[in-house]
Amino acid sequence: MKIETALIGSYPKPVKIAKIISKWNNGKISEEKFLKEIEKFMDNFFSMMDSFKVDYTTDSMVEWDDIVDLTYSFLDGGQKEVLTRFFDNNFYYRQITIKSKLEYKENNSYVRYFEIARGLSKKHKAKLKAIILGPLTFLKLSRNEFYKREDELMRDYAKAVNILLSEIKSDIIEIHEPSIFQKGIKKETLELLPEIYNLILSKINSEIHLLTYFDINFNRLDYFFKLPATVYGFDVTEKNKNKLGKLYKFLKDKQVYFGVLDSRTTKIEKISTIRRIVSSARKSGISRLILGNSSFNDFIPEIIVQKKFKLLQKAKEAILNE
Amino acid sequence: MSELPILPTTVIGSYPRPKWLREAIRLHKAGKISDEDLKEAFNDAVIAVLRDHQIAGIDVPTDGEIRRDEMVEFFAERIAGFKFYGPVRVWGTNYYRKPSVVGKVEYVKPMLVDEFLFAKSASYTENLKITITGPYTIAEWSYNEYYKSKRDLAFDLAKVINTEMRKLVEAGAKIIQIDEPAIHTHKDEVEWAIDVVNEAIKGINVKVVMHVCYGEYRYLEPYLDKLNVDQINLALKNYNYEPFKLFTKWDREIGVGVIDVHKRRIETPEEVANDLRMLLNYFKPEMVWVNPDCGLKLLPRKIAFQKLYNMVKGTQIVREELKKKGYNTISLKPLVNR
Repeated sequence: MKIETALIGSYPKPVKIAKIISKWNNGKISEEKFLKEIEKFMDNFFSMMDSFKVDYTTDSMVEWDDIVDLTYSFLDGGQKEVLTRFFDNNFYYRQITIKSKLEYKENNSYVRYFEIARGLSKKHKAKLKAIILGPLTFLKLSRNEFYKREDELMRDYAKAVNILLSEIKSDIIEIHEPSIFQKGIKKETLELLPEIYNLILSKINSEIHLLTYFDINFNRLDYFFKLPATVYGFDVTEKNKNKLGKLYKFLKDKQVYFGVLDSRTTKIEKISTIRRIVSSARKSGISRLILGNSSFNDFIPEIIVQKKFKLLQKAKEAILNE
Repeated sequence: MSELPILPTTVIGSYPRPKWLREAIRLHKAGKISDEDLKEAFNDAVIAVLRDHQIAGIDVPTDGEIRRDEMVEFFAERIAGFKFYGPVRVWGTNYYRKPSVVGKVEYVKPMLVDEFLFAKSASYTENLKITITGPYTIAEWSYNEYYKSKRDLAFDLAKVINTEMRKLVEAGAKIIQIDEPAIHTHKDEVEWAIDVVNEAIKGINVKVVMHVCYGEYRYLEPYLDKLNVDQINLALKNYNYEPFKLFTKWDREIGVGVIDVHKRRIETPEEVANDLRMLLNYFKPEMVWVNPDCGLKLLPRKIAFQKLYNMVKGTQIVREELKKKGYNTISLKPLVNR
């Protein structure tokens, strides 16, 4: 079984960078100065990921408030409005209210920032992933004032994402789909998802890391595994620790991501726990295992994120030396 | 017991810190002014906030929570058992120092009494409100490294908060607001979270208000009857009032949020009056208080003031209409024996 490590989603945005972003948003600094600071931060971030020997990383999402903000950057047809809780976290995003047909926004900042990140990442070892919000989670996190039917909304979203992915040509795409395990999702919506994903990934030959977090719902696993992905991701922290024994039974011959670093607590994991998880994963027949953080790193202080990745590096070394 | 005009106007708690106070805090952090000078700056700021509230015409003011950087952080710094690792983001470029619980939480000494006594001495009205963060929210917005469960942590915090509330009553507080913006975060925890709040307010026989904002109000609705507070106040304007219908069976006081604190657009008095008229179709006038959705501290001071001013003007329009129907005052007497 191949073992790798990854950072998924975001890295905590230091207050210093947040102040620069605020100044840029308020027109108090030039675009040139703003971009210089963002590039400097990203470059340092990639170096840090190298120091932790992380195999896959995002660009840290420093340029975005959150994953909805990132999504808004390449979409026309919506408007950022109500400040809304992100699942059950004390973390809030501006909900997109869909006012007209969703379409791909030309000359968007997503493409521009991704090009910057790709350029910087080339001199570093960790492979860069492009982040995408899954269509179901986009549906659940948005407010629809335009579409009569949810399938129409998701289809238009999928088309827009497909154009974006065709444009950026990222080798690896990290799709966040936590809502697949969320309560209250209609059966017909779940059944439609493979078709929506095929639209998103039409003519895209990238490696797909499809991620879930916060919950694991065994009744939805069939739906989840029907989605076209290379790696299937699970949050195995908090209450999900108790579900691991059952989960292994579904993972034979699969390429899997396990969020073993709890992104919602400052308590540091034990290397022995991670080793046990890997050992069980090996026995269950998982073909490739990527280990990393369970969800967005914004939920914990930067110093803790660093400690956790340092620990993950040690755990990986210990496992590889077994 | 004191009386208030029908549709009393109030604030939720926080108010923007004046620029000069922010500068004084910065200088203090840099070691350039003394603790005494900073205390004087805080006191002066309380006077300034209360003056803003007075000019706006607020019936039940607060001191603007001017001494508190953040609602959980402030208490975690003063309760034994907490540790801080660094700031975390809440939204956009807004942060707080989310604390970690690393030992048993215990009461150390009064946290709000001095703050309350100063505000009382500076207040233009005896109907001053003091706010305190509730035990469930402190537990939910902290990292738990010590307790077996969040529930155990929250009940220990309830004891601490109850001790502080008793001290506030001894100091003369007549209206205490317990802030529980996190209470409706987890559907499966709301029932025991209400027990936690009830534990925190046990024996507090002054007017007790609970503030709730932003989130799934529908999680709270099934358990409202169990809640031993006299009043709930809610963020409603931000949601274009959609959730208020969940509370129409609530037979105690309701504080209606008629000002969106996350937008800089200033509501007009007519808009506030129209919103209130709509809400009065569903709630008894003697049970309605008027407030912004949440604390105002993230707004520029001028905008915060103008929003409050217009909120009061809009309320006065409806108040005059109610007076013609015989509604004049309400009592501050608690509605629940705790």
